[in-house]
Amino acid sequence: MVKPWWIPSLGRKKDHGFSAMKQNYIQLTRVFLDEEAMINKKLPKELILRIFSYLDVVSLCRCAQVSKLWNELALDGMNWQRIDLFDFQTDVEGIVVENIARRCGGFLKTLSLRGCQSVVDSSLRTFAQQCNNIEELNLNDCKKVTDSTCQSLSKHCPKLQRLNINSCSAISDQSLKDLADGCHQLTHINISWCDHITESGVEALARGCRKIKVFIAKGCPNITDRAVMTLAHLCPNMEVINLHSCSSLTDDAVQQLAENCLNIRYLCLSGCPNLTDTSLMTLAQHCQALSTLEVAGCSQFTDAGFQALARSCHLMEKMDLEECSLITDATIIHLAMNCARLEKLSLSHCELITDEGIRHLSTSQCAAENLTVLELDNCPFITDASLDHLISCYNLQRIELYDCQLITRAGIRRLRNHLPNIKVHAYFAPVTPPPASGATRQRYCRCCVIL
Amino acid sequence: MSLQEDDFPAAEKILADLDNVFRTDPELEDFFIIPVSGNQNKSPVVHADHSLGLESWCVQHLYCYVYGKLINHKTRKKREDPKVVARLLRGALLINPETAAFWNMMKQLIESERVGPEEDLRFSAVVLGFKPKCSEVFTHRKWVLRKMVAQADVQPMAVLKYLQAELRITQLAASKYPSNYNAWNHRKWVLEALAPKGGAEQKELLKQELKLSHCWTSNHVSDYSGLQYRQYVMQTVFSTFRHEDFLCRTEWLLELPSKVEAKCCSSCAAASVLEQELQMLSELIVRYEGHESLWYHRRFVLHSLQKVCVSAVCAKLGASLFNSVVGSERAFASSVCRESKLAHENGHASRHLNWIENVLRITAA
Repeated sequence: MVKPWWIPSLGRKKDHGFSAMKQNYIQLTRVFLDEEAMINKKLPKELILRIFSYLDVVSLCRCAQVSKLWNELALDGMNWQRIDLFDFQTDVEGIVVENIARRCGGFLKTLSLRGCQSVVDSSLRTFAQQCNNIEELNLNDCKKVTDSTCQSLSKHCPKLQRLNINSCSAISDQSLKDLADGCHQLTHINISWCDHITESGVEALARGCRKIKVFIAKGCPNITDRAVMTLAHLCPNMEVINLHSCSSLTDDAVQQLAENCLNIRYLCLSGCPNLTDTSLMTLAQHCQALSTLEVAGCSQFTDAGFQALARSCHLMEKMDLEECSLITDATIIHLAMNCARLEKLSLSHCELITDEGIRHLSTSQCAAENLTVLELDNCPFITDASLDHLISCYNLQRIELYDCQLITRAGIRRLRNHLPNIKVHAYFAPVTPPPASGATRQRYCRCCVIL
Repeated sequence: MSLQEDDFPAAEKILADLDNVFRTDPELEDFFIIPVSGNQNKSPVVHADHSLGLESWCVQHLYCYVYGKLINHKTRKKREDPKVVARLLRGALLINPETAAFWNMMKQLIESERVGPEEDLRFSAVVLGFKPKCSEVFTHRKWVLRKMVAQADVQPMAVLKYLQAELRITQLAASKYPSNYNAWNHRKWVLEALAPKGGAEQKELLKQELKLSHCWTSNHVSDYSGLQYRQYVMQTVFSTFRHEDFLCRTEWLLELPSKVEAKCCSSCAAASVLEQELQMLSELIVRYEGHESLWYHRRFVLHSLQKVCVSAVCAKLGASLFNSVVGSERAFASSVCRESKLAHENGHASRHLNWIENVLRITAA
């Protein structure tokens, strides 16, 4: 009788020798070569693509090396809509950008080449030609980029919304004029530290790109009052304006800005020493939506200006008043009374502040819930009494006390007892914990045998 | 100990303070670690009188912080911006300049033009003020100088400026550490690499160096490396100077009588210089007892004199002159042997006598 094949044979001695191993090996390879292999059977291509869309650049490249199928799927344009090459920095050269451009084509929407110093105009021209749908491009610190890149972007990338050319020092007004001609959808632009840019470039930009909401121009000393006024008139929807170190600005520019851009929520005027209380008062009059104000180094501001500001801008969340050395406890008292949402307050180098101001702050509405960061470094009159007042600020995460000579370790310890998660930044050396007893061998880095 | 970042939040502030000092004081010369017992809530960075100080309480914590961050950057665990890396490197190298890896990272930053070479030279000069015998610093300076000089558009005035700066710095380093071989070696390299080749300027420079090393020897009698440098300079002078360069006697600052007329020819002039050197050495040996270095320098001078006499064409030089020199040598050594009160000075003198008998005479024959 022929035994049917599906009945296993009993009692037959299994040969566990070489031939059995070979049989198992053949069976395994069959599974892997077969298109019916488990993972491919269970997961359709669309799902694999979806999973890949969450991966970062390095993982995608590794997946692309697994098999032909995965190679196709990993390098599919849909997974490469957002690319960030910061971690590769100097390894990224022109050829890499061009390959990405060709591979991703119209899919690429967001590309960050921050810190990739070897990238040049010709690669970016190829990139602009291939990736016409680019919406967000970050060229921060790509020092070799010149006006030619912006010209290419203007010609080929009409959908560009966010552009960051921070520290591309070769950029001049011509770039802004080209962008104004071709990229009308621009909403976010960052031209910090491009010191060749002058008012004519900014004015041209404002005329062409009316939708600008975020304008960041740190360290552009040639941006004058007139530039800011034109910008304010033509782009009234601006919400974020950063004019850090644009040192020639005066109250007139701020006045025009305040009167026209009523939606401003973030304003940075740090390093503009010519501004006076008039600026603060016009801001108070028109911009009630202001939530972040950075005016470090505007040393002419006094209590009067901040009083006006505090009274109208109740939504204030972050304020940087470093080096506004004329302000006194009165400013803090007004802020405490009016700004219930205050989260971050910097009073570095405000030498007239005393414990009294901090006491008012700690009993204010913002203290218990919202206050998270307080900077009091270089305020010589602050003592341990301030730290004792601050124990009621339950959400306080960081406090800076550098160079406050009257603060002692005991005061800081008391504060830490009440607020265990707080980071206290002072010049006191950290106490080295005693060595762990028992199992772990103490490890010293070789360099610590100094002194 | 763990190298976590949030153990020492003041580290970034201290590094920023250090950078500030470098930026605001272009004439900064020195760096010290100031031993302090306690610590207050005050910046540990002290800047006074073109000197930079760092209080000792923060050094260990600062170094652990900086080291951790730099190693993470180097092994690509967490990349930093180049400006941040430069600041971290300056902190690390001020405290521990013997780390070649960090100097190499600095070289990379200079290559990619993130840090200016002049700025870096100023920085390493300050580091030398702290550790004047650090060979890594000198090697790094060599690399930077080579790079600056190899640029296509370099001005000869600029090269001269670098030369003068290097000479000043090596002299400072040599004065801070006894017998500073690295500093003198670097000075020798500077003469070879940066000095103008040929012509009057090189000869001027060599004359200046000879004068300087003469003063130096008189003030630092036991500086072996300084004497070796003087030997190098003398050899270069003898090989490159022609007869007329020797003519003006005041250059040598040694208004001592010698057996040979310097005006005759270049070999005679060389012999004259060497004889005057012997006389200077005799004076120093008698004045400062017990310095072996002077005796060894004597041997060099005798060897050179022998070479000059043997290879000279001039009639005045020859075996007779040399023999008379050797005779006076023996007399001098014996007199030191007799009169010196120090035991090891006797040893030096008698070894010198032995050397004359066994080595010099044999090579003469």
